[in-house]
Amino acid sequence: MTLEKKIKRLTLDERLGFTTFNSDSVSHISVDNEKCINCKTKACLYVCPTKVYYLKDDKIYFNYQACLETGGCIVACHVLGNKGISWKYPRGGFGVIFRYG
Amino acid sequence: MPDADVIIVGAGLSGITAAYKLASYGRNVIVFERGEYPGSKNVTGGRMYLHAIKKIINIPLEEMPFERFVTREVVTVLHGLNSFSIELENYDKQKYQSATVLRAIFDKWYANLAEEKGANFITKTKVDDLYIEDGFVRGVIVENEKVTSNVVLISEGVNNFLGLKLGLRKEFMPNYLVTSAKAVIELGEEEINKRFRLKSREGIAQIFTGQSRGVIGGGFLYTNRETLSIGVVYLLESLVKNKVSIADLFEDFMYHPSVQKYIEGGRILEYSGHLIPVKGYGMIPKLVYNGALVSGDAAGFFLENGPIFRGMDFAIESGSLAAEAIERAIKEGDYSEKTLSYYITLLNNSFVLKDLKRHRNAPKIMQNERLYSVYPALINELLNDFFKVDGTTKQPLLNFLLNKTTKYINPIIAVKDIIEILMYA
Repeated sequence: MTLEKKIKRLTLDERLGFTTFNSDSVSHISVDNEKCINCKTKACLYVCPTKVYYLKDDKIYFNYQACLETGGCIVACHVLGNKGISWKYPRGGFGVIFRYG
Repeated sequence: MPDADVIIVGAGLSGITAAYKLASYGRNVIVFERGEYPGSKNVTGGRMYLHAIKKIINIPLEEMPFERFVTREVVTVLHGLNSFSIELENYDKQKYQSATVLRAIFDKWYANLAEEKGANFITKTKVDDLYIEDGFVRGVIVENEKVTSNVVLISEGVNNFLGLKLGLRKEFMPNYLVTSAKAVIELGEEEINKRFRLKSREGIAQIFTGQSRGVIGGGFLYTNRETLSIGVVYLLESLVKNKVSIADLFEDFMYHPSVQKYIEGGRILEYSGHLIPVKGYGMIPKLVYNGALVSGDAAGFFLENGPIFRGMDFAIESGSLAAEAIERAIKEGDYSEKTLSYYITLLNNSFVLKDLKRHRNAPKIMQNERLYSVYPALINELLNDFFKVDGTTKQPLLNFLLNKTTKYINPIIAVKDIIEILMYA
């Protein structure tokens, strides 16, 4: 498509670079890979708008600092996955700060 | 004496509305907000239907921090590099019924109004738990300390973790939750006016279906004053079933030529996401408990009916009605579930539960996969071939329609789908 040249494609990381965060030093997410290894769907990989969860060498890794706090992962993981994810809201004042919303 | 008459969990539209009204009644109100400021955790696609906010604040709509008033509704059906749209325009200022809005900006402003009335907003503070005594909610736990009140309003948003702990809601299912990805793109006011053929403060609400790799959901585009809100919404279950990431579908959408032409040259200001409860009437939790009520998204007050998405008007109205019920309970000095259930009576008499009840089957339409794949393909191919002139002689229209349609779908199923839409929408 010729149109594509007119607009610079941004990667997810680049897009996310525009969002403001006040990242906590402590993660609000944890993953139990002993459960994930037996997870057939890996549901967490598909439902997160920032791909916080990713698969490497059959293990689930996560980047809690990119979390937009939708809460979608926990529902997907606990109902369609193998309940490996623990997720709660970050501590007060931490996490994403929307300036537009 | 409790620390406050009322504690409100979460500064979203329903929490702020309740705070505004209760403070106006002279009540001592504390709003706990986990974000940096009211609005900093709040996201909408888009647009607010204005009938609810008009009843709360006595300020002309033009002076509220809305972006643009929607004068054009567009529904676009994508297929391949093709698209088909229907447009409805209305330039009668008296009939503006919705406005585009950016929540981090709007909610901050709205919370300020509530603060001026006397409500106390405590930000950067997460409510970890409810404080329960003798079967009554008597406050909240923040940072291991208890803060007490006569009533707690749970307006913490869609996830409603407090309601889950209290047993008010069940575990969510991924077949009635939609997740969204959105970008705010700066183009400048004049460029938007030019690109979309708009005058100042006129705006567009556009939704898209098709081209989602079979996933249930679609795209949206709203014109703000100087920016565009653009994004996608997809059913959690359908993303997992089709093994497609919402982040990738967002990219597909942004770079579809029918969308790209609008955002060309724009600059991304923010990338955001949100969860939406789409089962409507079918997912409303228990709304009242001794000493507590639930409102807004936390109560599942959301309605998707074809191209119409409503959550904010329900949030404002339910916050307002919760405040009325709480005020009555305070006057009676009785905070039992029975007294607070006046809230449910008010909801039943308002558009909140009337509309949700009336449209309780609308989510069934949304779950029909054919609306996102087969029909977008069919309608685009039909029109494409109808407009085609290439020297081949065409069949009579009836044969053409029947041949094309049956290529995509069994006519009996198509008729069933149409009847369902007519009945449930």
